[in-house]
Amino acid sequence: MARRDPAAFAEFVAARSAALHRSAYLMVGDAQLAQDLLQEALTKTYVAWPRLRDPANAEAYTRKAITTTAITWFRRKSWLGERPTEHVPDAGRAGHEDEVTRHDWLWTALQELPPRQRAAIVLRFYEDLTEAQTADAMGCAVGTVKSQVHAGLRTLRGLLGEHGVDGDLLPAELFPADLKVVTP
Amino acid sequence: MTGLLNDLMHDRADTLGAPDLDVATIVREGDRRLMRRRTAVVGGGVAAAVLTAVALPTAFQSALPSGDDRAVDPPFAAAFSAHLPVYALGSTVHVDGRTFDVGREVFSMVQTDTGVVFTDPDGTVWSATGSGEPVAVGSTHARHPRLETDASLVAWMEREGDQPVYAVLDQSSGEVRRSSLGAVPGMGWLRDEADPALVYAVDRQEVYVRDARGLVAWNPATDEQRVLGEAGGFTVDDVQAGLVAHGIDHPETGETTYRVGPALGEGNVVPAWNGFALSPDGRYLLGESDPDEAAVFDATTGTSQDAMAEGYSFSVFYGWVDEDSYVGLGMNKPYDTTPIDLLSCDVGAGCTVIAEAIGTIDDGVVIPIGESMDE
Repeated sequence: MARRDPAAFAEFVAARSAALHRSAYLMVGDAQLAQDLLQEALTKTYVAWPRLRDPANAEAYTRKAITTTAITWFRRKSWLGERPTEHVPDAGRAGHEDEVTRHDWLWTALQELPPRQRAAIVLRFYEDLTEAQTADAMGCAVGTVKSQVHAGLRTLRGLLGEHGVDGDLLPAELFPADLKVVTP
Repeated sequence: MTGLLNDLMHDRADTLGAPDLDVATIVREGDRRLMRRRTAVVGGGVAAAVLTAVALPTAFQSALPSGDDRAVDPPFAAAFSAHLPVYALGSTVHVDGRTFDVGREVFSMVQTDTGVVFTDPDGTVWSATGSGEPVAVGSTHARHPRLETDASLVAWMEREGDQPVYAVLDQSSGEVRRSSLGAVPGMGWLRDEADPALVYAVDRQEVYVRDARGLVAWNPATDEQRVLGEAGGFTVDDVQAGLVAHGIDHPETGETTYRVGPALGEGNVVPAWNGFALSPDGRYLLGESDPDEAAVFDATTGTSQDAMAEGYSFSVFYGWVDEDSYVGLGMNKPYDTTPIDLLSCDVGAGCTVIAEAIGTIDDGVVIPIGESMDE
């Protein structure tokens, strides 16, 4: 059995914490909260360290800890109620969005998705994980990943459509075949 | 071509500064959790399995073959029926000063009155009696297995796709019964998930589980099901003699009230921060008064007393020998690499060493607690 080596763990943290922090941030939408989430996930990783054996396993384990912890914290702490209210662009500006405005709308919509949908989208399209890898990170079945991604993208697409925002959510090659894109 | 969503996520993430992490704090917290977990995991649901297990082996000599009879390697049935102490190192199960090999690494294990049931690192659940080859009886979560037992019954969680399934083996007959009870697809595996499907304990003929209805006592022989409390806001650590050791959360204050009683919210309050194992009559509870502070609670009075063994920097207790004697491990730093002693203690009195230096955590010592020693 591998030993719990603080030096090796510290090396892993130094190498991968920035990337993991970014993923955590996309899941929770708040930099400080993301740091707290990462610290919790890394603590779980340290506890699990002897069985992870190599850095690739450690990163996957930490990503899974971030995901499942984010979902759990969200449910327990009602983050929607505790998080600072972000500025939501005025709907009256919808006719002349520039890129910043579109990003604001989309960011707000992404953060308002249910946590499992948001996590599935971040893992699939930011982390570029396969459906199977996403399922492993979320601790669910591949079919659940598909349905969560599908529901999330449908919500986002619908919201952008409501505000007349043009543009594709995803590269065409990544867009689920069964998700119809409706241009208003 | 990228899409709006890809651009957005990369743009937002790229603006983020480096996280301000204190690795020393993380390591310290991790070490603290390890110690707490080693205490916690040795508690749940094993009291009956180790009942009388750690009375000194000499106390059971009359029940076992002796002298020349033992030289012909008698079956292990007598040792298991006498509940002699069991532990595993790698793929080797140790009992009564003898060993047998189960052919694969023991990752978690419980002891029954007819043998052991264990999981391997792949999550396969095996039944072994020391006679013949182990038999695969099911599968469960590979990294976070949780086996619960009483007498010859052993229960664990399985999955059929996304559907949680409760499985119960009667090791005396080899029969496995499975039911999804009131679990619904998508419920979690783990206790700290929001809506998990769990096996909490086995008490006599009933398996105590959590499904979508809440806490349910299920008799797999008759399929009778008793709902003892609604889902949410509670944790069950053990059940003995029909008494449930449980904590109920109060979200408005962040406090948890710990009780031992016949149903959720019933019974005496005990000042436990965490509970592990009830004595066979449900009077005493092994647990912690504060994190890493082992204690024995008297559920009839609501009082507690320290349960640390002298001569060790840390001691953990995982089951009951009889109504007022319990069993545990004595550990010294560094915890992963220092040989562990097996202890027997009496309520209100001290502890004695009954097996010295059985191995180390890093050696892969597994005691019959039903969960991984080192997650």
